[in-house]
Amino acid sequence: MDKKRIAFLSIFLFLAVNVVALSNAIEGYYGQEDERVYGAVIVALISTGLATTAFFIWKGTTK
Amino acid sequence: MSEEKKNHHEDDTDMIKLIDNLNRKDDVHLNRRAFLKASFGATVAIGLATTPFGIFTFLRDENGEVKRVEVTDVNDLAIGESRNFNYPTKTEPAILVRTPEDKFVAYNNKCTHLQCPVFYEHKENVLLCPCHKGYFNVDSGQPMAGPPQRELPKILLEIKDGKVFAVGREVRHG
Repeated sequence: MDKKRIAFLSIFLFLAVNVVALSNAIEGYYGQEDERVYGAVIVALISTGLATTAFFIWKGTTK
Repeated sequence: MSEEKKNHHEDDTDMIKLIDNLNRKDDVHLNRRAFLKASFGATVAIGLATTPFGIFTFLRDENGEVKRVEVTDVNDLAIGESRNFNYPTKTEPAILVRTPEDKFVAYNNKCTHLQCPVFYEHKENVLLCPCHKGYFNVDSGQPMAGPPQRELPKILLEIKDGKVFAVGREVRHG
């Protein structure tokens, strides 16, 4: 699988990760589970950073 | 010659009609590239949407100082009895129970189903929410039967000089 295709597909993977992370952050916040909220925020921010990288890789390889 | 020219002209008209039939706007905006850009935007938006929850949790921790509140004298509460009090704020009800094993336990006095008050049932040694018959284990605060799915928040106690003090609260435990 070429680099462009991997970058393309990984954005959807990170989208799914962020949806789960947001769900956990909301549940943790209202359930007053602080560790769960912090964990979800960290995962979401890392995932967003990786998605941004993947997007620019995809954009760079697109003619 | 003139007929050939006429045919050629008709072909051109057909082609123009074909091009006109294409919805060029959709063709420009609904493509693979636009779809990926929209997905990337959604990923970033959802990812960043988690940060306010982290910030508010942090601020809540900063303000949430542990209070030490005197609840009752040990001798004022007989074995198998319970007493209501408020902790950690004056608006949050809590229940203190002296169990048959002579242990003091306290929980938030709000059923985790629909926030009804819970009562200590001495005979069965359980905490009962009468609204929908929710039963909680008095030793752990965990739900035993009925609609509640989550445990009652536990009030941490300290017994000193013959008095019972509430010193903290654990929302999830056990």
